[in-house]
Parts: sequence; structure tokens; C-alpha cells
Amino acid sequence: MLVFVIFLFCDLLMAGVFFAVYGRKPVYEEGMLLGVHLPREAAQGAEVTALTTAYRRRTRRFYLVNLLLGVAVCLVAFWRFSPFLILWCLWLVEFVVGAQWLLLGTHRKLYDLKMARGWVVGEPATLAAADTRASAQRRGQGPGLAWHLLPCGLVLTTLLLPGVRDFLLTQGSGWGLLGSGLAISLTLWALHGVLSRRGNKVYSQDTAVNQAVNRLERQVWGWTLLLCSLFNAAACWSAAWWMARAHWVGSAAYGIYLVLELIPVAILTAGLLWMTRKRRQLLAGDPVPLVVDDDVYWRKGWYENPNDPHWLVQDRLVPCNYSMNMAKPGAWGGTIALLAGVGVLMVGLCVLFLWADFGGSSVVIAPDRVAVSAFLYDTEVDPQDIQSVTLLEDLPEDSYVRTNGLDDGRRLIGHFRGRESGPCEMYLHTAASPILAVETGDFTLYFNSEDPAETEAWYQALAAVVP
Amino acid sequence: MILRVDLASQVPIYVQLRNEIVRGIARGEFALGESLPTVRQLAADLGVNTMTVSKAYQALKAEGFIETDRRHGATVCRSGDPNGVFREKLAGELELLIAEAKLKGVPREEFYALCTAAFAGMEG
Repeated sequence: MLVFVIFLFCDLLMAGVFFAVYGRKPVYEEGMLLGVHLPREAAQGAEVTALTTAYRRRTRRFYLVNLLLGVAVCLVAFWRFSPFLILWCLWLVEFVVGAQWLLLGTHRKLYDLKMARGWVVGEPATLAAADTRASAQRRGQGPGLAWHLLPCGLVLTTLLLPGVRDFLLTQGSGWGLLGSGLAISLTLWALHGVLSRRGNKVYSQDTAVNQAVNRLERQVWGWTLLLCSLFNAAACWSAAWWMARAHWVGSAAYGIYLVLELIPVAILTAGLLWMTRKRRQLLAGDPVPLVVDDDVYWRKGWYENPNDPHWLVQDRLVPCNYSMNMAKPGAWGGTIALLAGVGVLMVGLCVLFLWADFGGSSVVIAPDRVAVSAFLYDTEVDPQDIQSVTLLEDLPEDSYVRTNGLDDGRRLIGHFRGRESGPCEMYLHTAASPILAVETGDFTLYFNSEDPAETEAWYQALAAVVP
Repeated sequence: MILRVDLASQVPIYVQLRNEIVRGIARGEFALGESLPTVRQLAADLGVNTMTVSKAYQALKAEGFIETDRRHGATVCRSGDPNGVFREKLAGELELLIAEAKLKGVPREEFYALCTAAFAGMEG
């Protein structure tokens, strides 16, 4: 159920965001329509209108179909996780590629129409422009980079709490929370650094407009990234509090951590939406826009300009986004490596979970060893170390947390920790009963079979080998 | 002021930059004492090498159009020609320009009109 809810939420969010960004009605702004510079009269002409109307119709159909497909795929999660994951990966690839194909295909058609009709607008593509007053302005640029020392420092200060250090040393599970928290704050700092070093863009022949838009972009990015980092630090401190006071990081701790980490997502989204709106207002009122017709560098659907030294440029279709300059050496290599990496990861995960679902488990009970294995995990116990063997109807009442294992709603496999009972290894079919509990000095091993008779047989075998 | 450079032009970029700033000062688009962007910032904005911008600023400083110091960076200053060096250079370049104009069939009056129009476009 949880898997269904999480993936359904993701699918709805993705479809919604994609539609909001790429599926909205094409609007003529900053001298462009769908990322192509056109004269206003041409943009309102019959040829272009027909093209954009067809695009809008195809886009609505595409997103509606994919929304329904995304929901339908999630229903498979109620059966087995691995088939669901395979279908979901296929849906994701189809959705992302399809959305880009739709958009960039129309962009290219519009570009070809523009070239055929000779609709060249504004300054030539080889022009580089700078507004000296916008470049020289130093005030009102948002928070400085040094401010990021505060959230990074706050994350690190959690280690000063003795309870936190003890928890990390004895249990180890908190390292992921604090480590990822520090990585997030450092990433936000680096991102702020990259964005603050990029040049000012010239939108208009009016310096006041250029100053206003560039200042707006720097301030919004600067403040949202800093706020995100501070809330991330707060999330780390909440986890640290649980480690230090409760010596336990369970569902409640993870819940609070998740909520505090979702707040930055909301801040970033709201900030960028507000910036986009404000930017649009500032530029809509500009009577003397400076238009550089560099569509030739975007004609393939991505930015490719060998004369531009920048690695990242403002995206043509989504101004608050950035695109890579594919003419830079290594850009293609890096992109292909990234896509290949994602592909390998997706295929690898699908194979892994197919193994988890259909791989079965192995139980060996011999006088010199008791070994249980399933999926990526195995546990071996010397019968001499076994203190007791019990047949239980159900798992003992306790709060269990998965420290390194699998929980797909049908099976529990791997390393877990009970709040009262301590570390345990589980190889359980959750719907099956009874359960074998093997106590050693260091941990408790729980395992069972889907067949109760087989579990009973294992119990008898264990009773024979345990002194 | 909006500085424009053509990255595909045969004219070196630092020369284009120098010329744009000189035109800007003459037209009054740069006020006396106004700060120019730092070399790094202007290079980032134009997408050119910092050495290119630095070379342009050095040329402007040598010709007396700007002055630079560590605290205020580059600022526009009042330039003059106390030794008549610029006038000599101007005479030489004008002679060549006029020779080309004559060979291309541009009459004297039209040349004067062009000069008057160019001066009219400059403030001060």
C-alpha cells in the first residue's frame, strides 16, 4: 500500500509539473514563441497559430493518457514490486522522452518555418552584449556565499551532542541521515556559487529593466537556496534530537525529518514560480527589448554554441532552468555517461527486485551450522551459540526499524532492529505463520516458510542440532 | 550603457570593446567618475576571456579615457590632449580616411555633413 501511495504521488506530481511547465498554452513573450524568435505579426499569423493549436491538442492528449497510465501502472504494485518497477521504469522513459519529443518537435517545425519565411528578428546571433550598470551593481544581490557556513555548521554541530556520537557509534543508522543532510547543504552552497558567478543577461536596452531582472534572479536564487539549506539543517537537528534523547530513530523521527525536508521543496517551488511571474511582469512592460536572435544555436533542441565559453546557459523554454552548452568538450560524453548510468541503475534495480520477488530463500540446518539466505542477505549461526529456539505465532510486539534490508509488504529480509529486542535478522513471509525465533547472544534470527509444515520441520531439525 | 561586440567580426574583441566604451563616454552614456564593471564581471557577462577585457581596459587607461585603482576599480575620467599627441594621430588617420573617401567618390560637402552628424550624436 505504501509503495502504491508513494509512487502514485510521484506520478501525479511529475505529470502535473511537466504539464505546468511544458504543456501550458504557448505564449508569445520576450519576442519568442516556443523558444523561437519571431516577429509579433508572424506569431499571430495563420501558419504559426495552426502549428501551436495542433501542438496544444497533442500535448493535452499526451498528458492525459500518461496520467491515466501512471495511475494504472501503480496498481501493479499491489501484486509484486518487481513487475511494477519494470512497468514504471518503462512508463517513466516513455513519458520523459515523449514530452521532450512533442515539445522539441514542434520547436523544430517552428524554427524551420521561420527560416523558410525569413522571419529574422533583432540582433545577430554572434552579438555579445553587456549592460555596464547592471554588471557594476553590487548592492541588492541577495545573501553572500559565506552565509551557507551557517547551515553547514549547524549540521556539523549535531556531532557535538554526546548522545548523537554514542548513537552513531553503536547503531550506525544515523550516519545516513546526517551524512545526506551535510551533502544537501554543501550541494546547495555549490549551486549558489555556480549561479552567483554566471554573467548578467541583457534583456533590454533600458538599464533599469536589466538591473531589475538580474537583481530579482540573484536575490530569489540566493535566498531560496539559503532557506532550503537552513531547513535541511533543522531536519538534521530533529534527527539528532531523537538520537540524543530517545536513542531511537523510528517512524516518528523519519516523519518529522521528511516534513522538514519537504519544506525546502515547497520554498524552492514557490520561489521559482514567483520569480518567473515577476520576471514576466518586468519584461512585459519593457518597450525596448534587446533581442538577440540566436535560434540557430538552439535549432537541434539543445544549446550548441562553440563560441560561447559558458557551460550552463539559461534554458530557452524554461527561464528558471539551465541547459548545458553541448558544444563544450566533454558535454556529450558527460550527458551520455549520465544517461547510461541512469539506464544501468534502472535495469539493475529491476533485475535486483526480480531476484528479491522470485529468487526464493535457502535454509541449511546441520550439526555444524545453521544458515539462512535470501536475496542479498545471509546469516550463519554456530549451533553452539544458539541460546534458544522458539516457535511463535507472530513477531513479538516491538517497534522494528529496517537498518539494512528489504520490506516489500510481503517479506522482511535482512537486518532490522527492535526498540526493545535489539538487533535481529529476518527472513520472513509476513502473511505466513508460525515463525521460528533463534536467540543467539548477539541477535535474534527470525525466519519462516510460506508452508507451515516446512517451518515446523525446520523447528524439529533445529531442536536436534542445538545442544 | 549596453556594450555590443560581434564575436564573429574580424576586428579583435578588445578593440571593439575599447571603441564601444569610447563612443559611450563621448555620447554621455558614461558619466564622469562612473565605475565600469570589474574585468571578471564584464568578461562573464560578455562570455569572453578576462584577458580580453583586461587588454581593453589597459588600452583605455593608456589613452587617458579611464583610470584604475584597487579600491574603486575602473572609472571614467576626463581625458585631454595636452601634448597634441592625439591631434597628430587624428590628422594622420583623417588624411587616410579622406583619401579613401575621395577615391570612392564622396564629395567634400557630404564628408563634412557626415562629420557634423557624427558630432551631433555625441554629447559634450
